Amino acid sequence: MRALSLEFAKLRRKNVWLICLGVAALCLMWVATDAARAAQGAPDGTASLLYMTPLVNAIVLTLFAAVVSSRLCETDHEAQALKELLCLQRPGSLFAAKLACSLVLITATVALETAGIAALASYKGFADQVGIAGLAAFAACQIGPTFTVAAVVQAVALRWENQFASLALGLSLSLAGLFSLFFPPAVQRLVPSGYFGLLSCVRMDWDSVAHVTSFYTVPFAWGDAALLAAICAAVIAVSATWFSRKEL
Amino acid sequence: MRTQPLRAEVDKLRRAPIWIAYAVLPLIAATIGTFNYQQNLGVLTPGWENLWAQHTLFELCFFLPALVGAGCSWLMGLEHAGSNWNQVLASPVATWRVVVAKLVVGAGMLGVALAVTGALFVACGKAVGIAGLPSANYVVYLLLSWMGGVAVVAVQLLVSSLVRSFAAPVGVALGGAVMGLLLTAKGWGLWWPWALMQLASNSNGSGALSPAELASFVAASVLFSAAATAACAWVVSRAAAVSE
Repeated sequence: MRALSLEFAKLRRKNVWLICLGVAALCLMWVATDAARAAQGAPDGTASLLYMTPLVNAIVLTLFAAVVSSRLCETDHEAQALKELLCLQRPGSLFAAKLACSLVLITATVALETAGIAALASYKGFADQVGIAGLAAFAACQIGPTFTVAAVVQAVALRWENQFASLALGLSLSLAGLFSLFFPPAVQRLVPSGYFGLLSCVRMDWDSVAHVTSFYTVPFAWGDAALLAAICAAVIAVSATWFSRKEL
Repeated sequence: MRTQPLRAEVDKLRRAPIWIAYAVLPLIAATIGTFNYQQNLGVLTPGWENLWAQHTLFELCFFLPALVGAGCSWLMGLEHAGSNWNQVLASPVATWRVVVAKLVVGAGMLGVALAVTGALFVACGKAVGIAGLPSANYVVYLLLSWMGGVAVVAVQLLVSSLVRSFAAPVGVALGGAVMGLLLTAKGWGLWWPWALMQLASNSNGSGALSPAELASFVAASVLFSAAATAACAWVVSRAAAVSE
């Protein structure tokens, strides 16, 4: 707990909460532009929001995760503090504290975004409102892939002082994640940011003859959630070992 | 002495081959875009136009501006370290020359990304069997995208000169790009530097810029580039106050 509060202390005056707020606002603005086209009280308005948001998140939250992870690691690289820190703190504890800090920031951002979506659906009076449990499940499905991306980027950000590498990786994951949404599930499973689509419970059907879009729900993909958790655990295990053996 | 800042910037790049990212990003976009094009031949009209959209839509709308943001953070990063701003300002080189040198290098790296995008577009098109060669319009799209992209480089250099963090300007670039998409949809893209690349590239197939739009586009690109470079030089000239 002390290690986690130290990580937040390092972020003081770094405006990370402002970044969280900005990211949530950006995602909501994007989704709201789409929602504006839906009629007031539309029967599938919330479903369209819940379909659209993971697409937006595959771009924005993936890069946000990279920015947060890179920022957390940059503070120690910038101050050339790792050598001293690791004499006072176990590598595993420092590594876990940075991950936990990322998780808190990601959770706060996703919570803001989800609350905004619920407010938007309520404002538009959509007929298919989702309850608290549904919204919580939706938020968890956004937090999972974002946190996995943060774990992957943290491995690179701690390994190399030059943060260009970690941000370029974040960008590549964002690009690959977005494109993977248009690919078969087997391809999506290869990219952490592809799980935004895999874990979404709302799917779309486009009738090209009638030019009508319809949304439908599918059961929660427990298998994909378990696979993502396994990938995340493997990435954390490998990068924690990598970090503990890093020559300072 | 006049070209010294430029030589210094090129020297910094020598052992930090960040240009590789500028080649890899278009490569990812081209690989996945071509695969997507092949998968959707039943829905798309086969041809250069649709392949261009698949290759460039997401790359130029979101990812290249963000990569430019990361590149500009890197270009400013060395000076932000320690008391390097004091050394730069104490050297017998005008600050605007330092900023222009960074702008030239940033524009050069953007040129690498766009050249790779163009080369991969032709190569992938031939690989999937599209007849003939793409029209010269695509060269114009790339040149205009580069011109609009220089404005993004200038603005991102300004952002990176104001913000010491490496990562935050990348977030600003992505935010700017997303806002650019929304503003372009409203018809206000010319007033937003991050929207210029997507406007020029015709990546969504909405049509090339008309002659009147072209004049406004060139004016906006030059204006944003000049204003941001001047502002950046002004910020840098006062950087000693914030240097540790």
